[in-house]
Amino acid sequence: MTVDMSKDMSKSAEPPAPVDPRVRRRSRSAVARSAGGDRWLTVLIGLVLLLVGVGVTLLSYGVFGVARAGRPLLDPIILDTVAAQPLLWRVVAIVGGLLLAVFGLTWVARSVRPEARPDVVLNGGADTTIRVSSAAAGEAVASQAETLPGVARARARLVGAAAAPALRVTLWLADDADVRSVLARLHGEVLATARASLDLPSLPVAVRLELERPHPTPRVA
Amino acid sequence: MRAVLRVLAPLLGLVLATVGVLVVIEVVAEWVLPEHEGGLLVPWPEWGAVLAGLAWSQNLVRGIAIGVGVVGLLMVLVALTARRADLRLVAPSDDMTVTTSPRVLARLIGTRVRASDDVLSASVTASERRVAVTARAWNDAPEELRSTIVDRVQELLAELPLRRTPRVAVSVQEREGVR
Amino acid sequence: MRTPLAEPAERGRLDIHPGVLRKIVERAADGVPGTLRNERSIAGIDVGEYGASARVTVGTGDPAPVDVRLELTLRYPSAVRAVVEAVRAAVAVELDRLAGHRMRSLAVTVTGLRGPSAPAPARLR
Repeated sequence: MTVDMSKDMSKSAEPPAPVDPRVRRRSRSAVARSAGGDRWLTVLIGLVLLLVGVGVTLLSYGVFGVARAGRPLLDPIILDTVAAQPLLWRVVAIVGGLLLAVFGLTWVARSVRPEARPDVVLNGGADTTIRVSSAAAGEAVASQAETLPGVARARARLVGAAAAPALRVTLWLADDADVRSVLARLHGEVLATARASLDLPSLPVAVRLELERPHPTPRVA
Repeated sequence: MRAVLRVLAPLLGLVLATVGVLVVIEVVAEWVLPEHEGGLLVPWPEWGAVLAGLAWSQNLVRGIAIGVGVVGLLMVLVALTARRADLRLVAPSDDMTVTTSPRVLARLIGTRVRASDDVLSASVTASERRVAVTARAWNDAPEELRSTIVDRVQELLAELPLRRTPRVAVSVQEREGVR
Repeated sequence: MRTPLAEPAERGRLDIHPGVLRKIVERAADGVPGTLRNERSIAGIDVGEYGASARVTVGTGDPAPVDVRLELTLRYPSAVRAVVEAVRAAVAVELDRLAGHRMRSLAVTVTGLRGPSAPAPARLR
């Protein structure tokens, strides 16, 4: 019942089918864990602090009026406003505090969570669900990649969402590896096999190339 | 920088969450326990008195505001510069993205340059746009060593499917003494 | 006065222990070409092999339908869907033949894909 994949490989290489731009984007985002969310929220808070700092400094130097600069930080006007409608301000404070707490905790949870290792879910027909574990798929691809000449070590893992998984492959190359050939064979053999075996028409891939530590050559004069 | 961001971001989230929780607790405590003097967890009435006694134009306020502004600026800079310095390579297919690190390119170039007998040592810095090789040669090295090294490096760069071919800058220093 | 005997089909009951159903399922899955056996090792020492591992839940009704959860190791490369379909067919047939149960649903998790480059477990018999 094993399908002989090697027969398909030896067929003449067809010109690569045009790739959906979404797939291309998924392969780019599979390169590494995205720092986007952390980055933009930090920029936001940094900008707020910067504006507050600049604003208060200007106020302090009297740019907004010398009289304003002389007022206390906790202005009696503020105290009067709050005292006029205590219930309203209490509710505002509680709601604001809750929102801030929820937002902060969500952000921490999101930031600290380790990157997902999605399983590959296949359609098995009625009443049958098939799930290929993330570890199994990754090891299969990595084992096959390690057989390529020029590749000393390989690791592969699935990243991304369960509905749209992507592969991240890291190859440790030997010093004399032919990079173009390794990449071509990775695409034509290893990845094509994976896609055929798992019946995934599109599996975006991010490949990272590293060099294997060389074995120290004996220095003989 | 990415490492800093990865630590900073959750810390900020934690600070925000703590502030939010404290605000809720103090407001509720003040509402429900009017007899309780002062703040429950945080001495906010005392803080309020201090703030009421300070004016905007005072030096302390100025100093703190400038400090806050600087911190904010630093945060923005850290967040914006937290990028991976990846070298992009051309992939055999559009659904594949190939990257490597500048370190790897520098090592490959260094190995190639050091393979020449005339070169004593070489140090390489590489980036997407520029490769700089500083080689030390024996003092009886041929005159054209520099251009030989440039050729070797460009050969290597042509073998790699780089998206952008970096400019190559080679400088050779001679070393006194016998081989 | 003897009480009349019930019809033969209703005389007595056969309850098959879920453990037995599990073995039937595992044996059937192991028989499908394309599934492989795993080595079991404790602290690096081989202590045997195991094939598919199944969990069986028996539902209510008569005849009681069976929900099967299977963990398999497959040969790589192979068409996973095709092998799983063969496993499904084999398991359904065996469950019906040996235990008279109908398989209602099957959930397969492929926990290993072993290629020719990976070392095969030593088979000592």
